[in-house]
Amino acid sequence: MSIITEVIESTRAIIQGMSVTLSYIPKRKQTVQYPEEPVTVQPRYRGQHLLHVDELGREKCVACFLCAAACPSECIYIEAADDPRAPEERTGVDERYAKIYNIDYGRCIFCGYCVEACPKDAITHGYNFELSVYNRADLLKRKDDLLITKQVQSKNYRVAFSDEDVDSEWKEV
Amino acid sequence: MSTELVKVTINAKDFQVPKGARLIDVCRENQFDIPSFCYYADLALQASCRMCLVRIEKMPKLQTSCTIICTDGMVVTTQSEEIEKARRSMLEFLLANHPLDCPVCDRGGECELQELTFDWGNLEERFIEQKNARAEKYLSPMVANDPQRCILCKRCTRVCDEWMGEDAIEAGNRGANTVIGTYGGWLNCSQCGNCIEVCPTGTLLDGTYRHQARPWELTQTISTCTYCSDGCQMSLGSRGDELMRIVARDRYVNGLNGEFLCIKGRFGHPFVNHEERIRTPLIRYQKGGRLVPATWDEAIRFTAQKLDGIVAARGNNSLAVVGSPRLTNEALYCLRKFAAEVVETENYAVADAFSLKPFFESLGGPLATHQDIRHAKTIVLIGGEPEELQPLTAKQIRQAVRNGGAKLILINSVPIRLREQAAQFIHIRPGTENAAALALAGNADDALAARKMGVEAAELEILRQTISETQGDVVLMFGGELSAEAQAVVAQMPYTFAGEGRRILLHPLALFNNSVGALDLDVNGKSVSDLLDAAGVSIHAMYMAGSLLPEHMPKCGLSKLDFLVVQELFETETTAFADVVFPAASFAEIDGTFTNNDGFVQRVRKSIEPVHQSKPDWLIVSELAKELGVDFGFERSASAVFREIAERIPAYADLRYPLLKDESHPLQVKHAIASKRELAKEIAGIRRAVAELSDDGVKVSETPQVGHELFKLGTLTDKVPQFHLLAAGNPTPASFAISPLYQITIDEGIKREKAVA
Amino acid sequence: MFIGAIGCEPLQLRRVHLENSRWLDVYRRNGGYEAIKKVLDTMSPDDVINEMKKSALRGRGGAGFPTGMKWSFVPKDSPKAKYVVCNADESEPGTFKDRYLMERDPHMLIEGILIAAYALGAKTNYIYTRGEYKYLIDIMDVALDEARAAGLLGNKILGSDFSCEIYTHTGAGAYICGEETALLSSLEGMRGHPRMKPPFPAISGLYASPTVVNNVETLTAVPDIIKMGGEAYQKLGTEKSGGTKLWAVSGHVNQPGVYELPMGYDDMEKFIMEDCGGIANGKQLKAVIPGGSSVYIMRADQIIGKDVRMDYEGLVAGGSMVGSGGFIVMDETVDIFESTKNLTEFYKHESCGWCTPCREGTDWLVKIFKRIENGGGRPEDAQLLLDICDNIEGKSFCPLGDAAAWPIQSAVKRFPEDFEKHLVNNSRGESKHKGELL
Repeated sequence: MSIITEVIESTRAIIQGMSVTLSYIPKRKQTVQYPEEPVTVQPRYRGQHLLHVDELGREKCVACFLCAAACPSECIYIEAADDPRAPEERTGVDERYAKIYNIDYGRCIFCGYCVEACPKDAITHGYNFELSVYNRADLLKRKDDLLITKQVQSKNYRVAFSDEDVDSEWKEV
Repeated sequence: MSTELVKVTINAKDFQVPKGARLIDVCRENQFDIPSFCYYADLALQASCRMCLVRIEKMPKLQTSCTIICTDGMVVTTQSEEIEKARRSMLEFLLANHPLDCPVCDRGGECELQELTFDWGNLEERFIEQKNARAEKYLSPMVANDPQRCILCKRCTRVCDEWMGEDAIEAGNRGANTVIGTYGGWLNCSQCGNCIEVCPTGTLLDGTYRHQARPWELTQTISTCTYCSDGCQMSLGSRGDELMRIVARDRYVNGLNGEFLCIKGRFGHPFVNHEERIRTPLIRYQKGGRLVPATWDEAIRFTAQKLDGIVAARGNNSLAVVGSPRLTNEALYCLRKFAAEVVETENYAVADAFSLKPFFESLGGPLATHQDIRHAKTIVLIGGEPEELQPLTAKQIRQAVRNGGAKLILINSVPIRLREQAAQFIHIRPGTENAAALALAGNADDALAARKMGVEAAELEILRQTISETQGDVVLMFGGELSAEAQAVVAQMPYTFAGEGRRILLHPLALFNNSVGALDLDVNGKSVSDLLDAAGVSIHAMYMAGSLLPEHMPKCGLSKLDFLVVQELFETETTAFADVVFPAASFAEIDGTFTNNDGFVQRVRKSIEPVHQSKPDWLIVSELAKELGVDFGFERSASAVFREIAERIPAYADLRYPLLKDESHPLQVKHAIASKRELAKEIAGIRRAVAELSDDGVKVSETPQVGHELFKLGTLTDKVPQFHLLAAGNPTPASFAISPLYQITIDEGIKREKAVA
Repeated sequence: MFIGAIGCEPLQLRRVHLENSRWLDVYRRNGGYEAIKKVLDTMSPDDVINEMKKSALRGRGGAGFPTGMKWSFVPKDSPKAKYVVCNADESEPGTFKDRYLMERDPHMLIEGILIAAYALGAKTNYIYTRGEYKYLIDIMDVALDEARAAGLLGNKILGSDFSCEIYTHTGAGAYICGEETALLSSLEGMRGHPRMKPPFPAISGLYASPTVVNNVETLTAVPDIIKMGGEAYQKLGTEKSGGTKLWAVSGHVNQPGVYELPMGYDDMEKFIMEDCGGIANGKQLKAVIPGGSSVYIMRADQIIGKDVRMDYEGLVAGGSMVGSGGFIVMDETVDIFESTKNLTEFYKHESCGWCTPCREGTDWLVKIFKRIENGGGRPEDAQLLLDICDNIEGKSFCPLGDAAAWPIQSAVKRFPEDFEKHLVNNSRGESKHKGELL
């Protein structure tokens, strides 16, 4: 093979290759400049759990342990307690509430079984996904970290189809 | 039940069943599933839940299988579309007004309604109307009540009536408004909690363990009760290192006590994880000083040095070893071995309220088991008060009278509640129980006995006549009032009243969980009072496992001792004198055995790890022995201790832990049966003692309050806040809606983690 | 208000129109206490029972069980005491015949009980009335005192060796206590809960002793049976059910009242239209409940021109039952949905709460009726009502469950148009449903 042929061949290969590359330059970018830009998460995304409260601000959880029973990785620990106060003063919606509610994110596999199991719609998956910590012990989140009234929501996500969703890839559909 | 067999066809299969068998039982035994709520084998028929409907040929409607007695040629269908529809509809009716609040219900997970709903519930609920709401409330400090969950199977009311004879709860109102409750809304009963146990739903709940755990996260351990000598089998539910609750075992297992427990067994367990438990070994380095926490090594070494010093200076017998009837056989054996083989002292005693030694030495017949009592034809009870001190025995007596038609003869100075069941109540003067033994021995001293007891001589004649006319079992029971001679006379009764078709069984009403075992393992039967009297005189050091009983405390010579070692759970009056205190493990934390008043050797099983730094009693003694140069060789195995007991103590021969595995069929200790012997000496002794009694003592005419012994605060029950309420007379709280514990504070000292400010 | 006999000589109602009919001398003057004398003088207990069997008298309380047979079930050789209990707990809606008998002729009942007690060897007998009949108890007590004073009650009755005593007892006002075993529980001082059968009361009834429980009308028929002889009594009625029967007629007829008819009176239409004076205010007949509230309701077209015979077999053939004889006539203005709701509320109120289907079922039924009444009806509710009734019927502990189910079942099936009005059309009259309701 002559050198000329080689130059032509390789040039063609480069042009062929670059044409693919260059053809993407005018197209819309998929890369998100996280953390400068927020990430779009789908509505059914399974992030860090949220423990919900009712309209009076009482915890919905009645410590029935069904989430703990359903959990395949046994990462939920609950201690129930009795709250004899009047309904409006209670911590939770019922006499029975979770005194301790811990989720060990070192073990959690975000399967969503706990959410499925919950008879009171007290636990759901939120969208917080930035769970990395410097100390392994910090992966254990307590009730105060999980309650919807107390959990700090990250600025770094947007939920697809929500009001603040600007660039959902499925929006046009 | 006769042995005659009849043929029953169930679902086209033929079965030969005993005549008189109940259809529901026959079906269940042959693996045909019949759902039911109200049927309970040990209770009167109710037939109200209508779940057990079956089709019987030649009968017009579906029949409740719980009410049908099998007859020859009966053709039964238990599975068909019609039956399924009927059962599903009954469950639909039951769930109509049920709140379906399983997530908050303590019964969730072990609820019979839940289980049957899985089997027979419909996919959809057709009931779209408003449910009849009823508020949750408390019936007593022990019993929480959620009437809306009730399915009115009335097991609770039947248990209360038939087992306990109290009729404390009953149904009120009518129709759909029927509620289970009590007059005035507050339960003033013996608080046995058996209504809670038998409730198939979450209507009656354990008020002390409310909303604290779910059944499936509890590890269930079968063990033996640590309170009275009945030795009820119970299931300890623990989570992690915490004992959460105690329930009886499943009713379909034919055990000693079925589903029966009393207040102490069921609710008296919070001492196990109580914050006042002794956490580390404690040493009082100088008399009058404080008890200072120490390490195990240091405490053992310190004790060994001290004991060595005293024994070297004052001789072996200057040391006394005192056991407790609350300890396991293993612990008592190690103590005895410690006394005999390590320090070689003769001074070994068990701190029991009274000794049954004379009784067991003259034992003329077998001990009556609780089954025997239930099926006895005549029961004679001298002294004692089983309703308060041995509740299971009392229940068996009641059922024997009520269901078995037994005759109960009561000889008591107090008109105890059992007299309502008694065919004959011989109301004697206080302190004249021995005269009853005299009367049982023969009619020679009737005049004397009757005069001293303050009864008609004819009554004694009737008593003897009833016994000697009985066909079947006669059970003779007696409490701690009898003297040594009287015990011997009663122990020989099987010979006195021997006759065709009659078995005389004996049942001593010992007080503590292992009183009988402690006696079996005792060497020379010294009394603890004698040892205490010798304190400071010939005895200068004492090694004590468990504390002294309150009745031993007043003349207590503990302060005169040079050195006192105590193994205890809590700091008590006894530990106040101690120089060294070892933290002992409670019954929930150890393996071992108790021997009950039937002579059954029953396992105690470890439910949780010993709390803090405590150790099993027998292990503490073994470690001390090792420090003193004698290795018992048990390593850490309680079963090795028991094997040695079985090898050394004849009555326990051939017993091993694996043989004790089946708690439904407990094994009886083989107590030596003494042959018939001449009782003239004993009778003369009793006669002398009786003759010295006064002729005009005043009889007690008042029936004691329910719970006068049951609710008494002891070292262990003191740790249960609810017991304080009961001991204070179970006052009716201002509101039934909230746990009375939150409403009333009897004592500043009651601390409870969950008490809400 | 009419009280009297149609189609036969008055038998039970023979004395009710007499002045002071409740006094002993009036009763004796008019043939009273002759039967007991005849029994004591000439008959053995077995003769009495045989005579009862020959009379083909069937229990008038509702179930229609042959009385002679019932008496013969009582074991003769039982060492236990025996009891005769008169069930005067007349609580069936629409039934008021026993009340007139006791109010106007109490001695007839006493005589009947005495004969029954003689036949069965009972020494102690009870008259159990409902709590609302307190005034009847007062009348009965006076009559009992009179009889006692005249040597008709107590020791050595009429100089014979026969002694017995009758006591009165009131319930606290519960329909269920009309059920014989519940009555016995109540009489013993317990909650008025029905008991398991078997054992039947004839073997183990009051205080676990042999007991016969009979309705007032049944017992008041006894003296006449003895006097005229069983066969003559039977001839008044049909072969299977002898004698006469009282019908308590109420509702939209011109002449309500207590009618004594021979068993097997031949036409219900004639009875309503002629004997009872026809439908009030010239309206049309719509429905009849012939035997107290617990039986199937009948449509007018099941009666008119159908020759419904008024006895046990005839009414079953006609689509209902004799029951306790509470004859309720309804005209075209009645909404059967409303009347059924009313009855269901009664059964819910009176359900004793012992067994699941009756307790929860009646509660549920009432809730459905209320919802429908308030405009929340759904077309599928008709089927739901039937299905719930089906689940109650035959599965309850005592017949109260059946009694609650039957009126609804028949009403929904026989008057679908009345239910349709509530279920298919909403409050604006718009149809929610097309096609058949059931």
